[in-house]
Formats: sequence, C-alpha cells, structure tokens
Amino acid sequence: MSASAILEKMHIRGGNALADGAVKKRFRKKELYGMTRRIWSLCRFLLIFGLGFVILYPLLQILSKVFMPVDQYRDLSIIWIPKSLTLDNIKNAITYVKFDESLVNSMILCLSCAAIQIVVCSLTGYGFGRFRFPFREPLFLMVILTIIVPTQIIFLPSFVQYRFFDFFGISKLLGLITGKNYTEYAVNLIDTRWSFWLPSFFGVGLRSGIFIYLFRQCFRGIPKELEEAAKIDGCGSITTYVRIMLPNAKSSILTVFLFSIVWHWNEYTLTRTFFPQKHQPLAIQLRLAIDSMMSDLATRNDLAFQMGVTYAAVLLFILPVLIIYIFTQRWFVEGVESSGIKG
Amino acid sequence: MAGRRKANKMRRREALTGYAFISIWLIGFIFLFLRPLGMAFYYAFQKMSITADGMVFEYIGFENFIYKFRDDIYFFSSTVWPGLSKFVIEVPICVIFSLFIAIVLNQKFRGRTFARALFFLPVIITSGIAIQVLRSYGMDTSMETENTYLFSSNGVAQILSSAGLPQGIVDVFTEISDRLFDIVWMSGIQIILYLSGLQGIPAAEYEAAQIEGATAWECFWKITWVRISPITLVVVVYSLIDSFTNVSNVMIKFVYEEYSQRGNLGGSSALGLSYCLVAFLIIILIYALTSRHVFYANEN
Repeated sequence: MSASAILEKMHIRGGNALADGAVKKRFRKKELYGMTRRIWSLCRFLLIFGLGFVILYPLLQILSKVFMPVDQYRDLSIIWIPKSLTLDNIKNAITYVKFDESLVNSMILCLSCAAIQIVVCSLTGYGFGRFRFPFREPLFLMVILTIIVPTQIIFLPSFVQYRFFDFFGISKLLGLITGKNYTEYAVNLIDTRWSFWLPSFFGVGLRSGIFIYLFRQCFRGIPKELEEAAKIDGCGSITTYVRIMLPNAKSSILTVFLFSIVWHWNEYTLTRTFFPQKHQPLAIQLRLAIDSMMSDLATRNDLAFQMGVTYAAVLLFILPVLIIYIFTQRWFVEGVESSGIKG
Repeated sequence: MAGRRKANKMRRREALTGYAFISIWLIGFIFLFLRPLGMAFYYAFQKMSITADGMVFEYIGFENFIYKFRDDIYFFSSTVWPGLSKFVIEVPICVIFSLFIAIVLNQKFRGRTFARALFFLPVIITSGIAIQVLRSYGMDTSMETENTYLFSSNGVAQILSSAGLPQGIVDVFTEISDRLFDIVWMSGIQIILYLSGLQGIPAAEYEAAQIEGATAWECFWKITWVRISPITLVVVVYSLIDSFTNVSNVMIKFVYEEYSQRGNLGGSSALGLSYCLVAFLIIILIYALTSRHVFYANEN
C-alpha cells in the first residue's frame, strides 16, 4: 500500500495545504515552531535526567557504600562520598559468595541455555509464524499458557520428575516389562545442569514461551516474497529457514540472547530447587551469603558489616551482566531498530 | 478436479512441515509441562502427609480449594483480590508510560544512545534477587529523605491539594508517584518493544502527512497509534502476564510460602491453579477485546 493511499484511508485533513497563500503563513509558523522545539527539548532533558536519576539511584547508592569503610555508615556528615576508600567489603563479599566458583557456574548455565533456547525457540517460532496447520491457534495459546503458569506452581512436580527422570515413559515401560520398580531405571537429574538443558532443549525452559512469541512475530514480519523466491530456487524448508529466515532475524536473535542470559542469571526459585548441592550459581550464593552472615555468631549483630558485604555482593552479582550489557548495548540498541517485532 | 487435489496435497505438505517445526516444542510441552501441571492438579485434590514410608497422599475432594476461604475470612480481600486486580492500575500506567518514553527516546537528540542504554538498564537488574536483597536491607527505594522531600509523594500531594485539586485526582497522583520507582523499573521490556515498533513505521508516512498539513497530534493518533497497535497488544499481554506472575504479587508469594514454609502442598497447588485459571481467562478476555482494534499493515 502506498503512503498516500494510507493517508487517504486515515482521512487526514487538508488535501492541498501547500497552496500559494499558505506558504507565507508557514514561514511565520516556523519561528513559533523553533521556540516550541526548544522548550520541548528542555522538557525532554529534564524528563530523561529525572527518570535517569530514579533508575541510577540504587546503583549509585551501592557504589557509594561499597567503597566506604563500614564505620562511616552511621556518620551523618557523610552523604554520598566516603572520607576514605576501602576494598574490604569487596574482599569479604568475594569469599562469602565463593565468587570464582559461582561465577563460572552462572556463566556456563546462562550461555549454554541461551544458545539452546535460540535454536529451539526460533525453530518453533518459525513453525508457528509461517505455516498453516490445523490447531495452530489453540496450540499457540498453549505457548502463552506456558508463560502464564508461574514456576511456583509446577516447580515441585518438576523436581519430582527430574529426580526420577524416566525418559518420557521409557523407564516405566522397562519397569513394567521386568517387573521392577521404575525408579531403578530412572536417572537423577537434580544437581546436574540437565535439569535446565532438558527443558530448554524442548522449548519449555525458562520463559521460552516469550522467546517463541518474539520469534513468531519476527518471522511473520518478513516479506513472503523472500520465502517464495527461495522456494522457486529449489530450497527446502530447512534450507530456507537457515539461509533466508535466520539472517533476517539477527536482531531478534540478539534480543533473545540477552534476555535469556539476564533471566537465567536472575533466576532464583528454579536454580534453588534444581541445584541443592552442586553447580550453584551466583544468585543462590548471594542469598546463602546473607543467610550465613545473619546466623553466624561473629557477624550476627554487626549490621554495618552485613550491609557492607551485602552491597558488595550485589555489586559483584550485577557486574558481569552489566559488563555484557555495556559491550552489547550499542549493538543491541541499534539491533532492535530493525528487528521489526510485529504483532 | 486435479487442481484441487494438488492444492489439497500442498496444504497437507505445509501442515506437515509446520508440525515438524513445532514437534520438538510439542514433545516438551506434553512431557515437561503438561505432566507436571497434571501432577499439580493431582496434588490439588490430595492431602499430603510425611510418614516413615515417605509421602502419603489421601483424597480429600475440594477441601484444598476452600479451606483458606473458610479459615481466614480476610483471605479474599487481603490476598486474592489484590493479586488479581493489581493489573487494573498497573497495566494502563505501564503501557502509557512505556509508549511515551519510547517516543521520546525515538527522537533525535544529543546523548540519545546513552539515554536508551539507561532506560534498558532495569531489564538487567530488575526481576532479580538483587533488588529483593537490597530492599530487605532497608535500602529506601522510595527516596524519602529530607533532601528529596519534594519528590516524595507527601510533599507533592500537599502542594496539589492546596492548589485546590479534588482529592480523587490527588490520590491517583500519589499512587503513581509512590510507585514511580516500580513503574520505571517494570517498563524496561515494554520500552524496548515499543521502540522497535516505532522504528518499523515507514518515515514516508510522516513526511506525506506533514506535506498534507497534519499536526503532530494528528500524526500521533492517525499514524503512530494505528501502526503501533500490534505492539500495544504484545505490550498489554506481556504487562498482564508480568503483573499476574511477578514474584512481588501477593498471591504468588502466598502460593510459594504455603508450600515452602507451611508444607501444605495440596493447598498451594489448588489455590495456585485456580488463581492461574482466573488470570488466564482475564488475559484471553482482554486479548479478544483489544485484538479487534489492531491494524496489520501487510495482512489486508
């Protein structure tokens, strides 16, 4: 549809505003326009500055407290800038959250799950976005359902399922044949990363539904002609998907990659359930560190010490994602411009 | 006749390819999602007790669905209703706010890249345990100190009421400003979605409208609002889901604590599932109501 046709459809008034007489009027209008523009840009600056302050406030507070010696916390003469700097809080926090170990755990979990989710969710999204088949809409409603049901309801049944994982019923079948309890053939996936990889691989991992939705919208927005041209050139559907569709969905892939990393990084309920002993990521260690500080006799009553370590631990927790974000940010912010997520 | 058969064959082929693409998800959905969900349904009608032989289940009918309403008369008004009705205020504010910010961020000005990066920042830190931990240590996110008295809602509310505004409007304003922090921190993803949608509107349409003499106001309602409506649908659905399933939702908190602290697996499953069902129905209803007004550019 051409632009003018759309305008006609939308009934925008004034067919020929640029008639001869109107030109002079427009010049006078331009001066007024310049002034309103200046006022608007001032308002815009104030707005962004104010809201930026709201966003940065917790971060600034953390930064101020982390490098402040804890005995200065109660000093009313210090507002933001500490009188002297210290690294003690950070050092304490590193030992409390077992930073080296838990950082590696978090990294492995986030990167692997993000990669798996990109592959599977884009395949599913392509299926939903580009093919017509019976029960497509009800099935897609089920994708939405997987996002709506909160993990708090199904994390316990899931735990039982992964504790005695029966390979989609194969163990039960073996149990029936041999007459033994099926748990003999079941595998324990708790405390292994499979408890995250498996659902991610089958498209029902952490917020996979949202990613499927995003990919479906993205593929729906890509012109049909591209696909038809590929078909005429003799591409099968897999080849079309890999060679034509995926390169056009680069920015969606990037979005999903970043979201997936961030959400896995911040996940607490599920990681706590599936990793009771091993592979514990930073999010769990952060909570454990605080609990152990509160129960430890030496530190229980020392609130200033606790606060110092907590602020430092939170900084350590968000710093890795923050660094990833700073490096991908430009790419990401530019990336969403062309992603064309359409409803 | 032959043509129709060929078309039928092609349609079947397309359907099969479609199923092939979603098959992995379908397997996972049935075995890794529906099965746990079914188990939760099963638990909802059972009473679990832990004995020497392990967990023992006993069928008790609908007891798990009603016990809480019977034992605690304030349960509905204190937990269920706030959990379900939170979206009525939250979602419209979130949608309007994120669209407004996205439009501002979409304009050309110096420091735009920095401003955009800033507004996406909450996506990274929020929803995480970091903010919870900070709040549990009493870090005031509401910023009520002497220095920022004007920013705190009491100060503004007093100024507004002394300016002669009706109390109702002042109350709404107080509500918003009290939650300003939450609103800003909640809207990160919505802003991203809107921004990407705004980038997708062809500039030619605005140029044509300007030549025809349309004002910015008309441009917004006749072009931006219409063109952005598919994204608005996504944003509304996302905000609804977020409002229903966020960890800060009182109902979700209750469902989690009912099991993890009081060990009542049946009650937790029953009340959680019924809550989900109601939330799902609300979402479908709103989806159906709004999707009628959505304009798809390449599907007419």
